[in-house]
Amino acid sequence: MMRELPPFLQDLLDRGVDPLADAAARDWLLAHPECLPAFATLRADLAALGEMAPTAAVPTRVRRLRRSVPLGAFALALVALGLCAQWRTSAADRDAPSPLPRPDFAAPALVRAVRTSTSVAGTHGAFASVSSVGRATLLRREEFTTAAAPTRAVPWCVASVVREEVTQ
Amino acid sequence: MTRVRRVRVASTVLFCCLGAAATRAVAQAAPVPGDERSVRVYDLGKRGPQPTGPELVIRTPDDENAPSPATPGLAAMARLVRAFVQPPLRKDEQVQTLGERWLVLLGRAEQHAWLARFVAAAAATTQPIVGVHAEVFAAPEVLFQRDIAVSLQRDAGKLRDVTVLDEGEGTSKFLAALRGRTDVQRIVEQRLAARMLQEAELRTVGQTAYVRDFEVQVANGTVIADPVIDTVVDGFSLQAVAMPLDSGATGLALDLSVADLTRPIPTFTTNLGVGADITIQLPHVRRTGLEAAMELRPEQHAVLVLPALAGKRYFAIVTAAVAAAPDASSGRK
Repeated sequence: MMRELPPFLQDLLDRGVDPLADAAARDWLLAHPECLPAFATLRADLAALGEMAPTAAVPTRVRRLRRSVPLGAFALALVALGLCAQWRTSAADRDAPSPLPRPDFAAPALVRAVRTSTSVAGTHGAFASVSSVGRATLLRREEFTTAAAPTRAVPWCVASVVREEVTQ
Repeated sequence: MTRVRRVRVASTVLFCCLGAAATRAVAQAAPVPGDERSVRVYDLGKRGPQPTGPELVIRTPDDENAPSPATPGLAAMARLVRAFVQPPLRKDEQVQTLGERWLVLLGRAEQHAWLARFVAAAAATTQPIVGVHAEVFAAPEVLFQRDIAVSLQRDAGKLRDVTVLDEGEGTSKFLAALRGRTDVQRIVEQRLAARMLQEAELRTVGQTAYVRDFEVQVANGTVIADPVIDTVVDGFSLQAVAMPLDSGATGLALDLSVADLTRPIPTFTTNLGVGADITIQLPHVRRTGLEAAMELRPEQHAVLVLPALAGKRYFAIVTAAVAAAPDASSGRK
């Protein structure tokens, strides 16, 4: 079990850094839950070693407490990872598309008349321009023209694209 | 009966018929006994400057001799009158456009008085300037139905083509969330300004020339095929006409249209019997439009949803508010 912990995790422990305080270590542990017991045991043992006093001087009650330390640490690690996972899930939920909030509706009677239309042209291949009314005060116009040399497939083909943006 | 007498009798009958017809024609313009309605024609004058640009209207060569539709501004004025004339129109009363500058009202005396005041106000140069702010969005239809339409359905009913939103926390959150969506494209955001009862227009169009046909001429044994070039117009168009209402709100007539050209334009290659093959282009254009009349307060937003177009949904959020006080010194815009 101990061999399953990656070197970087063990390096953290060697340097006295708590892996639960390291984001990369947390991510790795979340991705490898089967290693959690080993990790918890090792972490607890290291913590106990750091504080270990001569065994003979330790009362029985304290020794029992120390035996329970790995279990407590394991439980704490699980809680911490659970909270972390929940935080990540809620963050993902915030980023995911969802229905927009419902707005405040006004009375439908304010809308007096509506007419919609849809049409498709293409059968005759024609779309003629007709005049319209407008009062442009600013006109931005971009235009380019391409002309293909006559070939057997396309004897004549002139394409001109004009983009106009009219603002008031 | 002599021939002269027969002619006199025939003439008398003919004049009687003409007289009856004339009497009926006069009766159409004056109240008929028992009917409080009458017909009058109102001249709105020249509606804005001369035409300047292409319109998002699909016309085929067969339509070239067809009568032109009503001028957009005039149609919007007629829509405003239909929506807000007082007293409201009954089923047997009508407002129609005539030509490029006239409105015809079949209605009661009170309605004629209202329309006379409306026409006088439209001709006045002291109307306040109204600002119309429009944001136009486009979203895939699936996304629109999943995330937007459900929020705009009042009482879980059917989505309306036009929905007016009140000012409030819910509306603020809705707008903020909509504007923050990266998967909803905001294609236009523009503020228009025009005097009350005059048309404001926003247009973002593309014009694409294409080879519609070939004209074949035979001269001295030589076949000459001249290409016939036509133009496809697509893009987005919005026209708005506003009027002040007694309630303090703004009456708003809106015309929105979106035309989408399938690219690349499909081609068709054929042979004239002599010479090389010729290729013509067959553009496919889908157009969807919405016309509406509504009452809108400055703090309210109107959401206008166009019919779905090729798997995409266009919708606009419009507000209107008086932007400037009347300026008597300025001329008509």
